[in-house]
Parts: sequence; structure tokens; C-alpha cells
Amino acid sequence: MQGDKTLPNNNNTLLLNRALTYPLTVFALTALATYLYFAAADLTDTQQGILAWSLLLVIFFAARMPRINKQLWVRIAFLLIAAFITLRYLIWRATSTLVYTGPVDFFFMSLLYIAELEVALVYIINMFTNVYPLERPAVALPKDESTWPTVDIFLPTYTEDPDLVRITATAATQIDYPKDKLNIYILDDGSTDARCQHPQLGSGAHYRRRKLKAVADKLGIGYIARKENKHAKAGNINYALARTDGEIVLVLDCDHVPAHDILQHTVGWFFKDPKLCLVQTPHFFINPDPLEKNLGSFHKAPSENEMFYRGIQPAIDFWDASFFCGSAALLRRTALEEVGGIVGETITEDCETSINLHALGYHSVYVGRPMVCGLSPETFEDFLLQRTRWCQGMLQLFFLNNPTFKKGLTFAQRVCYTSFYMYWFFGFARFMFFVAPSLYLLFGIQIYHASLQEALVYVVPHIFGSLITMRYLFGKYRWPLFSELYESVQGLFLLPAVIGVVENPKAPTFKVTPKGKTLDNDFLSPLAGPFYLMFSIMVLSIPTAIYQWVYNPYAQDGIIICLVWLTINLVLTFSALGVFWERQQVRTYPRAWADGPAGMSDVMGRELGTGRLHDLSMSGVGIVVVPKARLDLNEEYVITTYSSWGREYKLRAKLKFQRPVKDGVYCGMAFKNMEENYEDLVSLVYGDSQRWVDFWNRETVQPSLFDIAQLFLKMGMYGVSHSVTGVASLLRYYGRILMALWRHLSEGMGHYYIAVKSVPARARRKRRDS
Amino acid sequence: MPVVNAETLNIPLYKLADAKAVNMRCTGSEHSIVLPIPKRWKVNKATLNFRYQNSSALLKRTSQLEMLLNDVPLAQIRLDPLSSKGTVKLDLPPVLLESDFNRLTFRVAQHYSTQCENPCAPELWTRIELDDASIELDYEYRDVPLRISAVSDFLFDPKLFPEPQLNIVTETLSDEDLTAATIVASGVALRYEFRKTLFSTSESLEQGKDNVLVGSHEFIKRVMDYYELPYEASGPYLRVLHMPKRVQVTRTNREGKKETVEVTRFDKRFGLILIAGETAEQIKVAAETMDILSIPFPDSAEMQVKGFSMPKIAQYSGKKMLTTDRLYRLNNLNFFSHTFKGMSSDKAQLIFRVPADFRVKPNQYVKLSLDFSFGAGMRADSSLNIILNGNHVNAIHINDEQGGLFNDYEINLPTHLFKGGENILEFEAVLTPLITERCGFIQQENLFLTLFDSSTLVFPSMPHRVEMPNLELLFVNGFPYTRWPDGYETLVSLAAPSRSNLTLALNLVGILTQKNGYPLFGLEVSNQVPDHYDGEVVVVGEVAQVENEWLSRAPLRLGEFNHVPYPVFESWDERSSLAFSIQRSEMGDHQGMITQFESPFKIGRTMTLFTAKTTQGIERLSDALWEFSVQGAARGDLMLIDYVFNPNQFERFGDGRDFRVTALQAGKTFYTGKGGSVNPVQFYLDLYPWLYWVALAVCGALLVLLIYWWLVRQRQRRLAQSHLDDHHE
Repeated sequence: MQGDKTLPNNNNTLLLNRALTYPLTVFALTALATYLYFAAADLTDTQQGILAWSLLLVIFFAARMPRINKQLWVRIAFLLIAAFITLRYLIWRATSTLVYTGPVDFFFMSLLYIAELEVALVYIINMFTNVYPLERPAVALPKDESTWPTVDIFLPTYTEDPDLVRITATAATQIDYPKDKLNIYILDDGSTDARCQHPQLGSGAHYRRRKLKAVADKLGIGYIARKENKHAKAGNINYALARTDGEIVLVLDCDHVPAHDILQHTVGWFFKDPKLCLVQTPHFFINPDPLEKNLGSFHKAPSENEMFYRGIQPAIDFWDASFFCGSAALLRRTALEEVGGIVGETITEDCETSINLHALGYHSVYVGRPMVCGLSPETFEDFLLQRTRWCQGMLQLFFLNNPTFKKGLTFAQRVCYTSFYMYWFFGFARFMFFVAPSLYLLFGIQIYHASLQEALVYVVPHIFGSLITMRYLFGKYRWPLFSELYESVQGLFLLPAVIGVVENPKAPTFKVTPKGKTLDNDFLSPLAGPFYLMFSIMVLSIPTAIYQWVYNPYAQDGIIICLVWLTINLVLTFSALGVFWERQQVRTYPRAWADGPAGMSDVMGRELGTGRLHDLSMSGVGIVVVPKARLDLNEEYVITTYSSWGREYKLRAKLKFQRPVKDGVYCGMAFKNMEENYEDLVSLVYGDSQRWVDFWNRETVQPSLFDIAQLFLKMGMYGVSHSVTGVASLLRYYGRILMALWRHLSEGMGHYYIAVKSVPARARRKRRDS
Repeated sequence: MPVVNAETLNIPLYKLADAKAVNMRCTGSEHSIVLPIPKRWKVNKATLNFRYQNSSALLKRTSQLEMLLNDVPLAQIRLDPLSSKGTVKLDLPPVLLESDFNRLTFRVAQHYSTQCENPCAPELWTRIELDDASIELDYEYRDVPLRISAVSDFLFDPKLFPEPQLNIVTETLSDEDLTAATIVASGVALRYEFRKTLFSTSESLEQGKDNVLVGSHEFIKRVMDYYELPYEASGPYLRVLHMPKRVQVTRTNREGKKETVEVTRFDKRFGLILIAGETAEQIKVAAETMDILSIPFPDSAEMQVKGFSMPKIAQYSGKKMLTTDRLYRLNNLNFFSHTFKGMSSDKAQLIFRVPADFRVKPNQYVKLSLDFSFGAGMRADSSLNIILNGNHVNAIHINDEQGGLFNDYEINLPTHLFKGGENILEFEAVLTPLITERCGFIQQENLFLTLFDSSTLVFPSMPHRVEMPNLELLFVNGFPYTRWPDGYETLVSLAAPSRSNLTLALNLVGILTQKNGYPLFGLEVSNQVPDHYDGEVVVVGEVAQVENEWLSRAPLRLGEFNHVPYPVFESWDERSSLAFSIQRSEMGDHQGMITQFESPFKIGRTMTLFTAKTTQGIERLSDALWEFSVQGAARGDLMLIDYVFNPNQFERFGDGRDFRVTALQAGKTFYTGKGGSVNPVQFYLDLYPWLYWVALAVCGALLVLLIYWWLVRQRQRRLAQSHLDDHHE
């Protein structure tokens, strides 16, 4: 697999570089020390105000000039300025605001400062890691197919719906790669011998094994099931590794459906670099995560994962720190075997395996083209389960296999890995930011000592500076305040996870994120309680602040700072209220964005109109056509469309509804004969990665902060209305139970059962779920 | 010829009080003035003259003004509403005037009704006009006791007023003699505490005042020989004797003829102190020993000094100076448990100093932890007010009718309320009876509040950094010359060796010592400034004697053409409102100038120039420095002091000397830090704020270039791992 291309051997340049390295390093360190010295310089508030606001203006305007700010030197200058503003803030916080005013004050003041330090450290490390993202070129495979390596595709599954596994397995068989060099395996951990023999789970496991074996047999792929479920997903993969022999291993979560070109775009890298152990590709999700769904922001704002896969992964790839994300990644078997397979002490074994591989001097590559299509968790509870696992796993890294001090890693790799685990302390930081103003306003705990003037010259520039910088670095993939929103919503619930890991780093165990759930009804998430309580405390703080303002004029500076802080928290909390109202999800197959030419004809072959695809799923398609004739509901039509590489699809579908839109008529169609056309449908819906690339690259206009605030307000109103409705329905439900109980007490046992039976099925489910 | 000891002194009363008038309100009120009587006076007669004015609403029958001396009632005056102005001439019995600080009290009882009276009705007032009042003292001097320890309690007595004088006699104006003389001046000024002390210097003894003779044994012996007095000493040596003088007497010789001969007589009213040694070092040791004599020991008239040691001192320590981050009990700060009684009781004061160059940072608080108790039956509008430097800064609400005892009642006072130098923290209790209905009995006996001296004060750690020049700090506590309390790292330079310049230097040292509260043993005095001197510098001398380079650094540049700043309009930024005139002109003969600027020798160090055009101007400047009105007007970097004659004052008190001060901030500023050492980078950044921007931009640009180079290399290296180069993209 050794590539034939070599770098031009420019010995003079090499020698010159080596000769310059030492003096330039000394020079750079001196300049860095000077930079830090200036950051710590003692300035008056007026001077600081002029300095901070001037620098802020510079980066504000620089961020708005894309022609200039894409140049590397501008990017470096931008980040240096932003870091300077934050450094000045941190130094000021440390030297001027940490005042001992009592043990309780000091305790909370220290916690808040530690929280701020954590956030600022991650922010500054992010600047470093994201300074020069690496956009990799496409690398083609050699023309001689006989030199191509053999590839094993592992589809590990546990309790997911076998129908999900079937789609993924079907798509895997359609991958463009020589069939004699491609082996696909369903790694079924949900039907291990132990589970099959389990008195309660046994029948389900048996059923699952039969069903998945049938899928494997039908598709002509391998099926592997273990005796026991040891070491969860890592154990499952390692078990398969011992029983297979492909040179390259592609790991796909069972809900991560691969496009046909995934190997064409990735395997070539293994020819280029013999020390390459990992090629990671993005995870593309076609359904909204619970926050997007419940807030109604799906397709309006970039998804949460885009920042990681479009912004951070290319950036850390520059530092050779792109890591294994558990799926959609190709691993070199020899390297994997050298580190003992997918192993580790943590529950994020994927990242830990990458650390071990990097420590041995192996390289990794990140290919930014989305080539697997996955599913996000459906409910907020499942979403939190997933995030808790990530959080606990990354924090376990800190305690059990700390990459910051890991031998063999380069400095940059250490920094990158440090930022990953540092980030997951945000649960603690967000919690502190939430409670801090209320601690002062309600309980008089002095945790932040600053005058209004200082806040204006230190705090505000720091906050605006970080917003502008995040927008500059990730604006395309993450709108301002959305990070805050996501983190704030999770913060309260991740705090126990953080504390748990700190208490006992070895305690957390792997929990699979449920995927592909359907929700029959809207309902209030059982996690809403603590969040609503927090919201109520914040609301209560407002009248207290007003009271303090009137009766404690000495403290007006502190009150106004806390009020502004509280308002930001309230806006975030208010807009997140809707998150807890779980919306109905009745589609078995999520409908994804689609674009491309589409035609419509009747079953006789007469063309009825042409147009473009609008959305697509395994069960149906949405197209916008300009009809040449009348289209009738529930009539059967033939839809013709093409993949990006020119394959034609002709599929029969029934018109379920239509509505006029700007460019014609939108037609919602349900595919006919789904089972017969299953492979074609999988190919159409999941096979074309170009569609996902187009989706990511669709033109979006980033709204202003004001627009985002408006959006948040709308989301908040939506959340409040649904929350009120939800709470009212819950009250009604419990009211009926109480009434039934009353009747039971007064009239006899029989009436009680009748009353409970009369509670609608929806309410019973809700009760069960909670 | 008998010595006439008796003297008469007429002192304006406002010079003894802290106000020019006293307003006494409510039904009962009193005000006290401290009248010092030094030990060396024997007062024969004392007369108090003052005018008062009372409210025309007072009830004559029950309203009266009472005068007390040391709590002994002397006289009572009915306050007559029909004759609301009055003049009082009152003899103070000399027997009641002790050689101490005597308390002269004015007390009023004021009523407008015999019943149902508002105890603090606005019409209940009487005003004592202190600016018009005076005390006339007839006194005679007691003989100076011939014991060395007299320097601590008799000779240099802080109760001596209005202007004790001391002449310091040196043989030459060499650096050694100058240093010894300033040590003496410093020690004497310290003994006088806060009292204006006029120093003079000469080559021979001056009559009519105390003299200190400083020098080698040879020099002292020559002087003693002149007075035909025996002198035999070796090593560091101190001796006190009555002031000798040569007088001509006519006597009959053996031949029966009358002849006029010169003999030595003693003026026992004044003392002569001999401070001698064989070497300059011994003289210095003897002078320092005299400075530290603070208790009545020894009783002998002379002292052979063998050794001498001083306690270890630290920067920013000294008299009443607070150390940061240290917990002080109030009794350690000379504040003892104080009980406030009644509705309008006196304030209790806590006086301390903080370094003048503290940089006040926000969010730093002085923590006051108070222990106090208060009586039962007080109304909820009672409070203990806390006043800092005359400004109300906090209060404790006394709102418990049951009375109570509080320990560790914490009050945080922002440090920005404090000022460099002396601070006065006052406690004022406003206690209101619970029952105050009209015509009801108002019980005041339970109105008390005791503030215990177990209360504590903690001053937080603060950085030292202050913008200079600042003449106000000089007169607040001698900053920057007293960073080390003994004046270490300070040089007083005479622009030319002359008696007038030395006099000015001695007076200045005296003032600095009093402000600082510690003898300036570390101070250097010299006729020139060494090259590249790295300490703080004071230059005294006539304009013509001062080096042109130094003059050219002053905000008012004197030279062939003077550069003179004139404020053109009122502005918050004074420097921006100045016009500069370049002119050929001259200072007035009796005008003095104090100006401060950055030392030409080292950044962050200060040079202060005390100058005048003529010798008389220098002498008058020496006098002016002691005036509180001059010290109080100090600010900025330039003070012009004009000597004016005040005829009214002359007519009333026989002394028409007065001063008019003009103070400006006209020159460049600079910053100085702890110990006078300033980080050069920080210094230039402070001095030229734009330099910070330039340096930051340059540093940023360099970093950008270096990081750019590094990243490009890293990118090449990274792509090379995959056998790619940049052209692939």
C-alpha cells in the first residue's frame, strides 16, 4: 500500500529550517512572554476600556470581512487579539476580584472562578487547535484493484431495532468496492448466548438472532454473536477482530448507513501513509436531535454535531489528533492489533484507542465528506444518556489515562486531547453560571466583586470577544448562543455525572443510546422538573433584585451586573423550556432533505410533470413538480429520479397529499411495494453521499444576534405554551386519579379500577415513561 | 544685670482649635479647646477674650454659657435674648493651668421654654467666635534643668508654642557637619511632635533661644574656651548646660579703678546642648543618641556615648503606620474602650497612617470588626455612625430596645475611601430615647454605647504605585522621602554651601520628621549630588545656585528665558488648560517656589526643588514651610509662595505675616512603585501610554509572523506524512 509519490528532496530548505529552528523558537518564546507580560500590564480602567473595546472592534470588523479573514496571518492575528482580551480578563479576575469576605462567599467565589477558568481554558485551547483547519484533498485509489486491501465492515449492534440493522447492512453491500475484498459482518451483541439463555430476555434475544441471521443470510454477509456481553461495544468488535482478517476495518454503528462511495474516498489514504492507522469520516444525521425537534430549529440552524465534524475534526487533523469516534471510521488492523484492539479503561474506548495509537506514533486522517447517515436520539432522555456517556468517558480519560501526560504524544496532540476532556467539565461550569446571580440576589452570597465600570471594561469585552471568536471559528456550523443553549440545557443534568466521575472514576459503565424510537404522543419529559425548578428560582430572583436595588443602593453595581447575567440565563432557560416537551414522532423512517431532478408520470408512462426532489425517506418522497395534468390523491404514480453518479431510479408511489408552493406543487408520496424495492430504496435514500454534502453546503444566512434572540424568544413562547399545556394535562391526569381514589374510598374498590381504566392510553403511557 | 524672664504672649484661639467658630446646639452642649502649657513656663496670668452670639429665642432665666478649665467651672454668663451678642474677658487662674495640655471648655445650657421643650429645637444655639478670640498669657521661664534627659520633656516640649526656636551651630558647612546638623534637627522636630519649630543655623551661639553645638571636640573646646568654660571630653559626647553669654560688666579692680570687663554669664531660660565626637561618625552617633532620648533618663548633665543601636525597620513603617494584612486590635492603635453617653456625645477617634503611595484598587476592603454593647430602651433610629476623614462612610443600626452586646460586627470599608498618610476614623453615636413625647420625662441615663478596644482592624494588602509628582504627598507624610522611615535612599542637597540654604534644609528635615514620626538617620545631606545618584533627591538653594539642567526639568522653567505656565480656564484636566509663556522675567525677592519633577538620575525617582531668588526668600521659605495653610495648599508639581502682610492680623495679634500659595499641576507625570523602584517597562508604559499600543502591536506582529512560519512548517510536515504537498489542494 506504499504510495509512489514522494516529496521533492530540498535539502537546502531542510537545512535552513533546522538552522532557524532554535533561534526562532527562542525568539517566539520571548515574543510570547512579552505578549503575556502585556496581557498582565497594570492599566487604569480607562486605559483598559480603550484597549479592550478597540481590540473588540478590530476583531468585530475583521470577522465581517471574509475576503481578508480567510488569510492565515489574519486568522492568527484575530485569535491572538481575542486571546489577549480574555487573558486580560482572567488576570484581572485573579488579581482584583478574588476577595475573601467570608467562608461561604469564598467557597462559592472559588467555585465560580474555577468554572470560569475551565471555560476560558477550553476557549483558549480551542483557539490553538482551530488555528489552521486542514481541508484534505480527495485521494483516489490506485487503478490496479489487485493492490487494494481487503476490508472488513463491522456493524456492531445491541438492542437496536433489527430493521435499522437491515438498512445499514443492505447499504453496506452496495458499497463500491471489489466484492472479493469486502466482508461485512453483523456483530450482534443483543443475541449473545448469555442473553439467549436469560430467563427474561431469552425469547427476545432468540427472535432477534433469527431475524438478524435471516438478514445476513439474505444479503450474503457474516453474522457473529458472542457468548457473553463482555466489555460492551469494544468487546464485540475485538471478538470479531479475532475472527476476521481484513487489512482494513470499517466500523459502522448499526444506525449509521454508509453511502456507496465511502471506501473510494477513504481507503486511498492508507496507500499514502504506512503509519496511518485511522481514517475518520463525519457522522451525518438525518433526523433532528431532541433539542432541534422540540425547539423547532431543525434545518433552520446548523445541527449541533456539525461544529464537531465540520469545524473541530478538520482543525485537530492539522495537529494529527483526529480521533476515532466509534463509527464511520476505517482502522488499520495491524495497528489496532498492536494496541490490543479497541481497548481502554474508559467508556469512550474509541477515543482512548486513538490516544494509544497516536502514542505509538501512528497517524490519523480526517476526511470531511459525510458518507454515513445516522440517527440522533429521539427523546431528550436518550440524548442525555448519550451525552452523559460521552461526558463520563471523557472525564474518565482525565483520571485514568490522562493524555496531557501520556508518553509518545506530541505537544499539539496533548493540547488537543486535553481540550476534549476539559470541555466536558462544562456541566459544572454551566451550573455555576446559572446559579451564581441567584446566589447573590437571593442569599447575598458575594461571589463576584466588580464595579459596573470594571464589568464594562473587562467582562463585557471578554464575553463579546468570545462570541465573536466562536462565530469567526465556527459561525458556519454553529450559530451564536446555540452552544450556550445546548450546554445550559445539559449542564444541570451532567453535573451529577461530573461529580460521579470525580468521586469514582471507574464507576461509569457503557450504556447504549436508544435510536429509532417512535413517539406516539407529545409528552412532558420527566427531566423537566429540575429545570423548571431552576427557572422558577431565577424568576424569583428578579423581584429580589428590584427590592435590593431600592433598599440597598450601595450594592447597585453588583445588582445590575447580576441582573444582566440573570437575564441572559433566563433567555437561555426560557428558550429551552420547549426542550422538555417531547414532540410526537410517528415516522418509522425519518424524512431527510433531498435535492435533485425528479419526474412524475402515470403508471402508463405518460409524463405528468418535472421538478425537484424535496425530501426523501425509505417510506416516501416529497417532490415539487409543475404538473401538466391534474394529480389525484391516492392515485399511483411513477417517480423518476437520479443519483449524483447518474443512476436512474423509477419507483411507484401513491400521492398522499399535495399543496401549492412557490415553484409548483409539493407532492407527498408514499412508496409502493417497499419490500420489493428495498435495495433500490436503500440505495436511493442512503447511497448518495453527495446529497449530504449538498445539504451541508446549502446556502444559509447566519442571522444576527438580534434575530437569534428573537428565535430564542419564539422557542421560549412555544416551550411555555406546551409546558403549560403539558403541566395542565398532567394535573388533569393526577386530578382524575385523585377523584377516582376519592370515589374508591367513598363507594368501594370496584369504582377505582373503572376510573383508572378510563384514563386514556396516552396518559397511561406517560405515567409508564415517567 | 538681672535677666528679665517675664514675657507676654497673645495667641489667637483659632490656632489652638480646629475651627474658627463653634456652634453649640440643643439644650446642652459643650466644646473643648486644648491649651498647652509647657514645662518651662511659669504662667503668672492668663486672660481669655472672646465674643459670642446667642439665639434670640433663648430663655434668659435658664440659658447660660459656662466656661471651665480642666473641668473646674470658672464663670457663667446668662444668655440674654435681648442682648444676643456679648464679649467676655475672663481671667484663667494660673493655679489651674498645669504644665500639660489643659482643657478649656465652653458649655451651654439652652432653653426656650420651661416645659414641653424640644431638646434639639433649631432655635437653641449659641456661637463662639474663635477667629476673634485670643488668650493672653503672662509667663516667665523656669530654669532649664541641667540633665540630659531634659531634651525629652523640658527643652523640646511639644506644648511649647507658638514657635519654639533652635539654633544649630556647626563649625563648617561640610557634608559631615550638615549630616550631623540634620540629624539633630530631625530629632528635635520629632520631640516637638507637630509643633512648628523654627530652626536656624550659625557659626556661633545665638542668644534668646536654645542652641545645639555640633562638631568635633576641638571645635566645641574652642567655643567653650571663648566662654571660659571648662571642656574635657573624648569619644561621642553629650552635655547640657545653660546658655552662656559674654556680657560686659563694670567692676573695681584691685587698684580701685573701675574697669569694664567681659565675663561669662548664663541665661538659664535656655539650654545649650553639646554634641561632640572625635570623628564624623562619633558626632553622628552622639547626635543620634540625643534624638532617641525619650524617657527621663539619665539625670546627669553629660553623657559619654559608647554604643548605639536602632530597632529594625521596614519600608513603609513608622509612626502610626499600618502594616497591611495584619490584624490590629484597636487598643494597639491607642484607641481604648469608649462609652458614648447621652443624646449628643463626643466622637471617638482612631488615628492611623497608611503609605502615601498605596494604589487603591477596587474590591479591596478594610475590615473593621467591632465589639460593642448598648443600653436598653433606645429608639430604633439610634445608630453608631462611622466617619472617615470627615465623611460618613457607614453606620450600624441600633434597633434593639432590649439592649445588647455584639462581637465581631463586621464592616467593610472600601479602600478608596482612605487616603495616603494620616487617616482619622471616627465613631459617633446617635442615641435616641425610646420615649420622647412632648412634656414627658425623657430618660437619657440609659443612652449609652460602649465600643470596646478589643475591636479589630485589618488593612488589605495593596500594591505601591502612585502617579508623581505630587507635592500633597510630601506634606502628608514626606513621601517619597520617607519610604524608609529613616529617610534612607534620600539625599538633601544644598545647591551651594550657605547658612540660609542649611536653615531651609533643617526646617524641611524637621517637617519631614514630624510628618513621618521617625528620626531621619538614614538621610544623606551634601553640597552636591553624586553622578547617577539612584535615590530620591531634595535640592534647596537660590535659583542662581541651582544647576540649569534641573531647573529646565521643572514645570516652571527658570533660566535666561522663563517658561511659565498660566492656567487659562478652569478644566478638569488642569494641564490641558495651561498656556505657557516664554519670557525674560524674574521671581520676586520674597517669593519662594517648591517644584517637583522626575529625578534626572533615575526613572521613578523624584527630585523636589525648594528655591527662591534671594537669601531672604530662602529664609522666608523656611518659615513658610511650617505653616499649615501652606502645607494644606500643597498639590501638583508647582507651588509658588508669596509673602503677604495681613494688617488685620497684625492689629489683632501683633503678627501680620501671612502667605498666599498658588499650586499647579503643570509638568509631566511619572509613576513610582514600591521602594521607588519602578519596572522600566511599566514606567515607560505609564509615561507614554501610546508606547503600550506600539509595543503591543509590534509584539503581536512578531508573534503573528512566527506563528505563521510555524504553522506553514507544521502543515508541510503534516501533508508530508501522506506524501502530499500543498499543490494537491
